[in-house]
Amino acid sequence: MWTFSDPAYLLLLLTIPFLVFFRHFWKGRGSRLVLPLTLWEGQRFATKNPYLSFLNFLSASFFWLSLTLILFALAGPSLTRQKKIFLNSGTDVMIVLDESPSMGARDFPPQSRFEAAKVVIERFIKSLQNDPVGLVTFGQDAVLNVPLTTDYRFFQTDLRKRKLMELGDGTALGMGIAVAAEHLRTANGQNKVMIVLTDGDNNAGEIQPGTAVGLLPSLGIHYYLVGIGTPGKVPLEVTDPTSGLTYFGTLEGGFHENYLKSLANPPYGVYFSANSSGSLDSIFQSIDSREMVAHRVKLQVLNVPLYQDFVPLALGFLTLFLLVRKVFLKELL
Amino acid sequence: MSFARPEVFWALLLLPLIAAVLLGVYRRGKNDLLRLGGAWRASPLLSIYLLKSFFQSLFLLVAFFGLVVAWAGPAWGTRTVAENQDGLDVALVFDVSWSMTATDVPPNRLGQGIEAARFLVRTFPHTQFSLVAFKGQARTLTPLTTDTDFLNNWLNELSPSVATGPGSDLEAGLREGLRSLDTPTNHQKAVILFSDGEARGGDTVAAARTLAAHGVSLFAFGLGTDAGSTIPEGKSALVDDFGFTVITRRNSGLLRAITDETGGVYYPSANRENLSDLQERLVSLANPASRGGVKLEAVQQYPLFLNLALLSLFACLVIRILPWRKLF
Repeated sequence: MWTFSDPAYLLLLLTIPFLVFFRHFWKGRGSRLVLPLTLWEGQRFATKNPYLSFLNFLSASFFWLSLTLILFALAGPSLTRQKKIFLNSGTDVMIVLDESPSMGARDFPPQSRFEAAKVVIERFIKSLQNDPVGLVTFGQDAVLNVPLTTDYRFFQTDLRKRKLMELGDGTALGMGIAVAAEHLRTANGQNKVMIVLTDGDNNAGEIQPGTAVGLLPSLGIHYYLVGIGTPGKVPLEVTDPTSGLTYFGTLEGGFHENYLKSLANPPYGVYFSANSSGSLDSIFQSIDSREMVAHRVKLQVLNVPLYQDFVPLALGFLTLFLLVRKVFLKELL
Repeated sequence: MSFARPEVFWALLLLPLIAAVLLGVYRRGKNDLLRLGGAWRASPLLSIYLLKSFFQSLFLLVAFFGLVVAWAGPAWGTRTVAENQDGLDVALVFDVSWSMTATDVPPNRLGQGIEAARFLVRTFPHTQFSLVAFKGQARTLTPLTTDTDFLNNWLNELSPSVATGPGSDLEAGLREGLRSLDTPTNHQKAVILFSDGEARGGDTVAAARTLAAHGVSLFAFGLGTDAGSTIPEGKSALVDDFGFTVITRRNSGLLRAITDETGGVYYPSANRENLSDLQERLVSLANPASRGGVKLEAVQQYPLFLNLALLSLFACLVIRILPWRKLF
């Protein structure tokens, strides 16, 4: 929104039509030569050259434009916008995402479990406001890809880069939870939440998932285990990022719901089952309503001054006026 | 007195040219008036024309001068305004161009910067830091976070290979640093630059002004020496296309200029004394209460010069419109 710090200057714009009249049309105006002769039948001395007339009009316009722009600049124009400022930090959310090959099972047609999870995480991130979020992925090993941050653009860019099997073809669920816990432990948010998205397999890593989740209540971390997948036979498609080869097959028994349920330990740990994209969305909405703390917010008014855009324009039009009027049209005064 | 855009003063070089044009117009106009006006009224006509030409030219030149100075953004004097910010977010912006591997300071320029950054991360454990590296392009390695483990891991990894593209685009580095600080908090924001100042491409001063416009303070460590050094390449030194050994020197002038734009400070080395000074300044930035909850703001004086330009143009009009002695 445009605002003016000294709008009274804009009232001076009302004088411009009068000044134009006195400068160009008033018969008693000075700086013109009254000749003691006139043309037959009272015709005016006027040029027949349309280009000269146009140049005359244009150069005069440059002067008035310059004057108008100076008045606008003096009125102190600025672009005002309101920005929401958060006075408290929100909930620290660490997302733990399974990158093992079984997450390539396509029981979220047309997407795989992994793709569906990424899409829903991205939607969830868009709904956050000043809640630090981090990303841990795990396969054969576990890695912190994004530390807790409110730079959601960075998070989304990193999430989109994540690929199945980039951390090997194992499933170190316990390591993933442990790495996430280690980085949540030192966070200073009001509330700490871990969301684990996995199909429940665990066949790698030095830390057992049961041991890892057992530590979470003592660290004040609430955790949500989201089981992604469906029981039974599921088509599988996985591209190995190292070789670039794509493998097709059928996955049977690659969803360990009962195991995940056994890891949940209410009220600190809760299990959700996600067998469709819609249910994944609902789960994230449910976590959002349970865990997100109230934000203390104030609206800050930001003013971006614009006078510096008007002044060079005014200067440019004044220079053009001088150039055309004095050099090309050879005006006396 | 300070100016936001001092380079605009080059436009004042047009003033003598405009004055010469106006003088030429007067001389030509005098002859035209003599021919058209007739000898019987030449004397009064020419005296009025001389006066009107003189004052109109004078006011036009004053208007031009006023507009140029107003455009330059003059500011003097200070006023106190309430400080709404509390806390601190810091972007650590690292130059990782090959010249930063020069060994004119131990262990090398980059190594000295990394040590200084580690000190700051250690000293402000609850402050959010981001880490940006730039060479031909800039890249955020660590988003704004309090996770010091993650930050330290990336500080260990810093080398010319973490950013792509040849060169040293300081502007890109500063702009990416500013982007990494863009979070909706009321924290004070600062960029700390670690560079030898050898910028290749980009408008660094413009980037510093953007930081200032966003209220971000820029502090810079000039790594290297004025005498300069060769750039290691394997066991020998880097040579240019003509076979001459490349010498890289610290550009203190540029680094000082860009920190001045934001009201920050330039440190010619990352020694203990300079780090302590920076530490004190960051503490003061993070705690507005230590400054009485107010901050000093420069008073913009451009309206003064715009009013001068406006009055001068009005005076030109009055001189032009009013007939003198009912003659001209």
